[in-house]
Amino acid sequence: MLEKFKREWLTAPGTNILAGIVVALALIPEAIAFSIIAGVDPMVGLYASFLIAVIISLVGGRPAMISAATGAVALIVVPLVRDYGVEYLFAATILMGIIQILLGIFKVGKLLKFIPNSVMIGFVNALAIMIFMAQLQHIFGISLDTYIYFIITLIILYVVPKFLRTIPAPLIAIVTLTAAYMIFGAEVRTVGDLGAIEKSLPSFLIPDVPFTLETLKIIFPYSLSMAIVGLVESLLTARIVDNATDTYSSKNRESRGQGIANLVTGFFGGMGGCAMIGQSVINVRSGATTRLSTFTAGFVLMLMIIVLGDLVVRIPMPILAGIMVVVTISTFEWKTFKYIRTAPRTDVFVMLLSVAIILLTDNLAIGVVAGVFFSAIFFATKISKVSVEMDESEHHFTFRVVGQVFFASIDTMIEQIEFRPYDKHIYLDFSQAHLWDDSAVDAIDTIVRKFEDKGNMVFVSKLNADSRKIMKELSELNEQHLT
Amino acid sequence: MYQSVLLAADGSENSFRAAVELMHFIGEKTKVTVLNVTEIEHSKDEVLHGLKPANLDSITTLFDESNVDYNVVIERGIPEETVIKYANSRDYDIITLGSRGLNSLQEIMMGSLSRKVVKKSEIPVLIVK
Repeated sequence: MLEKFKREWLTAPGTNILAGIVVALALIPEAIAFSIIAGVDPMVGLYASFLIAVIISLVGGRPAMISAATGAVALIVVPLVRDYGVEYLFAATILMGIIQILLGIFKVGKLLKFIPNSVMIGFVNALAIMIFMAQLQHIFGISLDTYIYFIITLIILYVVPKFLRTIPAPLIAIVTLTAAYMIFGAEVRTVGDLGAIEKSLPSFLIPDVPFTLETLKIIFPYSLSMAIVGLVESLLTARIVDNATDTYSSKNRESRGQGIANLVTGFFGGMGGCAMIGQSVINVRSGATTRLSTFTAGFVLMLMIIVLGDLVVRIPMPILAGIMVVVTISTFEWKTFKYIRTAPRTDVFVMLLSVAIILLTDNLAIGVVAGVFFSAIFFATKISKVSVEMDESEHHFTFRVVGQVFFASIDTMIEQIEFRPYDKHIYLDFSQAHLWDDSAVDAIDTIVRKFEDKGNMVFVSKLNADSRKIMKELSELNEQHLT
Repeated sequence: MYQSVLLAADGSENSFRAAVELMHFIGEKTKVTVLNVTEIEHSKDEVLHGLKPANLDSITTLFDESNVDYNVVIERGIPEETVIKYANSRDYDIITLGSRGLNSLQEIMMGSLSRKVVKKSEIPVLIVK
């Protein structure tokens, strides 16, 4: 127990603290930008990032992974905030947390393995596209100064990292350009124009919503989507961090941790969040391995808000938009174009379909579910290819069935058999097949009957143990047929 | 004659050339460690795109055919730091690696692994172009 604590908190403290600080600095613009996407006060995203990061560092399942307010969840709640207000967002976040805790308890983490890579890639790409598009309104059609600030931000973000790796370029962009704005002034919108920033710690509040079934009906669909999307991104990120650090983490523990973090955050005026691939990559690349890095990130973030809160309102929006544009360009999986050329066609189709559905419905969760659905159909189609080979020997005819026999493949199986009188006994050889369900048993009963109707003697042979078991349980054939 | 050599390899043409060059200055008793460091971006691609870890077969086949006494180590982390850390943790006489073949503009953009290793190494480094 103590060993684990030492390993997960005290290893290489210096490196981990430093990594956490870097992450905190990179998180500030993102938390603000995501708040603005959601249509809420920047404070909501900042409180959320602080709380989620700190709580996850304590109860999450994956050390060194960074969780905070995220674009994925922000995108989902846009209509909720627009139509019902921010208090409903807090209520939805609380419910999201509860759902995630339940999913963790019921070991739904295992369900993640049913989400194929093609859908994950679609998810990540669609997310990048949606966040990118959400920035456009802060760039175009406002003023010339806006364009100027935007372009200079981009230049800073591309040039500075070549020379200076220790201080995050976004921070340099924010500091220098905000200073320029304060000295020279410009016709740009600032963060303050979109919301007020309070420099205080979050306080406990029960969301100001009616405690009725009506409210539940309103927030439940959102909470469910938030929970699903949050877990998908978190478990995917956890896998990546597992791989990068060559260590294992408990996905169910992470689910519960995400749930607790969101639950508490909702009660303290924050929006829902989840793990972040980009920030976790930054963290690990900076050498982080322990929970201390995540804790530091949240803690330092809050520190910066308290100290610099006043200045945060003065940050010109085009700077944040520029940062987010660069973030989304690097989040987008450019390797996807190579994937499109090399991966199996059905996988590529599922991936593109997931992206399309997400963009059309403006909903990440629906896209993921649809992607999983289609991928399952394709999979069933692929393995429902059953072949029947006919052999004739001196004493009998053998029909060898090869493949998986279940509801989707029985038609193909039956089509390949010619039901006519044969002058020898018929053996149905299942040594290279597997029976999966009652449809399969039904089909075999039907085959035997159709052969017998033409005056043949039929034997069902070489079933493996599982197939034999369900035949015994469900089939209407007599024992004599089974050899 | 070097007693122990650390070859930092990423499975590319360049690292294969480094392996070939290495054969010129080792003796029968020299021990070679082939070290591959996978960075986190690669990890992300491994999870999402099913990318395989670096393929060191060309090097291992060459060493097998020439009866070189070698072992392969795969580590994860930041390449330049991990190579140095590994080299310092054991008794190596020399580090060998291929240069990535970046032109000068690209070097400004991407930074050179070999240059970073040279800067921080406490033992001789051989960069094979």
